[in-house]
Amino acid sequence: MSIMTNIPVGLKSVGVFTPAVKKEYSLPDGTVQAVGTADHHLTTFMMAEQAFNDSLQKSQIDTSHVEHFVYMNDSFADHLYLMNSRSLLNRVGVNRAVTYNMYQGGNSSLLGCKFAIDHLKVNPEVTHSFVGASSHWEYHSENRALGDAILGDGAAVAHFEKGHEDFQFLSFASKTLGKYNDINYLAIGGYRHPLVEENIKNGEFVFKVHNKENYHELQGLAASAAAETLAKALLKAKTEISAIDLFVLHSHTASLSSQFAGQLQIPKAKVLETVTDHGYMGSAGTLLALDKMMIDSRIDKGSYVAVVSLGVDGNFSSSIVKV
Amino acid sequence: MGIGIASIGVELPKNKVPTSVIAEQAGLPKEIYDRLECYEIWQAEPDEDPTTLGVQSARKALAEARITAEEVDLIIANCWNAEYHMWQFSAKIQEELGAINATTLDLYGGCNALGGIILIAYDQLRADQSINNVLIVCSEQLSGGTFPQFIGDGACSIVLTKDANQLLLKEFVQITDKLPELGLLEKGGTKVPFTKDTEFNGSIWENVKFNMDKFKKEIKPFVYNMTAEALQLACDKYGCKVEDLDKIFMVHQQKYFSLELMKHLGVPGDKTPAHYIEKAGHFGGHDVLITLKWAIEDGLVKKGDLLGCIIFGQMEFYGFILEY
Repeated sequence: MSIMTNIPVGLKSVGVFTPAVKKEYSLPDGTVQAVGTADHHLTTFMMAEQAFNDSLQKSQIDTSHVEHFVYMNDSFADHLYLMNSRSLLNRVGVNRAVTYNMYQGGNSSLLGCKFAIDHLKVNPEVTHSFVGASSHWEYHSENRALGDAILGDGAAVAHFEKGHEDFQFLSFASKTLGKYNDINYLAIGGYRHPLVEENIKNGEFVFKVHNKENYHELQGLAASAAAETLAKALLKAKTEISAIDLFVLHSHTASLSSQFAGQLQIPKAKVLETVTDHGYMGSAGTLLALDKMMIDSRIDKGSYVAVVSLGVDGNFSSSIVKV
Repeated sequence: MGIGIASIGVELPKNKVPTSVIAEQAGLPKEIYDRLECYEIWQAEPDEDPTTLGVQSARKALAEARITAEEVDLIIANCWNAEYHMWQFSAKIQEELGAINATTLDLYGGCNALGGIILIAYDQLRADQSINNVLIVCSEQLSGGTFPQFIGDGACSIVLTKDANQLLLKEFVQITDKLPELGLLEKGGTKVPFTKDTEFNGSIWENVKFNMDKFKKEIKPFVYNMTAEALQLACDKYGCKVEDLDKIFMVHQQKYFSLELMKHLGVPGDKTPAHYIEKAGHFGGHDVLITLKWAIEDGLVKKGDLLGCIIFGQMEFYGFILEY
């Protein structure tokens, strides 16, 4: 059996790709949200490949170092029902690697980062782990709306390296409220309603909010549930909220992040929020926010950052990062 | 005591169906039917949906492990044909069980997914002091299919725990290499999106293009090597030989495939309980766990036995070693 290592594991880089084409969409509150949009000429894997290569370039390593790759399966790939993580590794030019595709409703990459870090901690022979996600909603949403959110396209890949001392994820806490499993999904393409031509022609193969009552109920609970995970993460890291220099908040909407910040009396000057500029990119959005964190001028070596992901799918995660 | 499988809960539908009936409905040639060597499968009624079967198997696993739902820290689930697409099957399980302290996630995949799930669970139980019990749930309902074997419906759950006193997980290996993608559903993704004019005749399976030529040239000649390698590597890492394993459990294909694989591994055919294929066909990756439970109940496995397990599918290969 492997023994857990004391060698630090740090975030080395985040590769990012966002489409150049931007379109504007109206939010329910009347404001306008601009998001990057891809199409069939710029596919999910094309964006993911560019993000992956960007992370390799930033970390100054080649594909032979890719040993472990966790892919967030929360958008649509070039083709349906593929093993997306392996398909993407094939495109990037990676041969043997440990890989899998996980799904947690759409905001799962912080949990994926935990899995990547923990894999490095308990497998002495492994040094490099990657976490990736690519969002592409042009053809599988209702005009990019998901409840109050506007879905943006783009990809990001985070690289964790054993022995890298910067950006160490000191602690992690998560929570799932299972009751809200029925908020987001596709009604078509599963056991209840198989994918058939009639559904396709009717435009029913789309990811959307189905249980609006639960969605609105969860919106009211989200800030408190996320605060609970943050409190646990702070406790595990043996630090306090006053010691945090930057709060990276990723949620469906900027207003939900504001609600969270307001509840915990976090000053705006300490918040990093990316949904305003990019729309809701799901798991790719969390990783994109980590990239912004790494170059944020408000933090320095030794600073503490709280990363909080508030999913309106019943999943909440927090992590304390030491720069 | 150590990380191991504390319990195996199995939930199967009430009905069993002779495969001769399914073969006739599917127009399966007799020579292929004979080659599959499976004579009956479990087939679910509409009320025995994947969630119902999955939840029931999970309840049995918790009871057998003698833990409460509140003691579960992590639920990882897989159901390729879950009720809805991109739905949180694992969160539904959490809700039904009342496992309020469990974080949940789904692993996407076919027969291979169980391997990835055990990989995550094994990492988490070793790395995270706050995680003591991981509930793994696999449920599938795809009966009617005949490739690569008659497909049966059923669910299996296990509790993987830090302080098990049986079925200790000794070593674990996953292999995925750069291999050709054999089956492709061309339409419906972001490359060839669905439109109002899309022609889609029949089911998903009928629209998948399978590249038989690539399979014959690039996979078939190496299939036993590929399937065996992960278990061989797990044995190397653990410091034993394949011959030291008392029994080998594997995902069900054709019965002859199981026996040929034993030959390839250099061990007698009776090391694997391939006879279970005759009464069950292929459920999914959880074939391995269901047949492990049956083998224990049938006295084919005794305390102290070293057990090899092989899970594969979608060009992913897993090998792991358990000590009963």
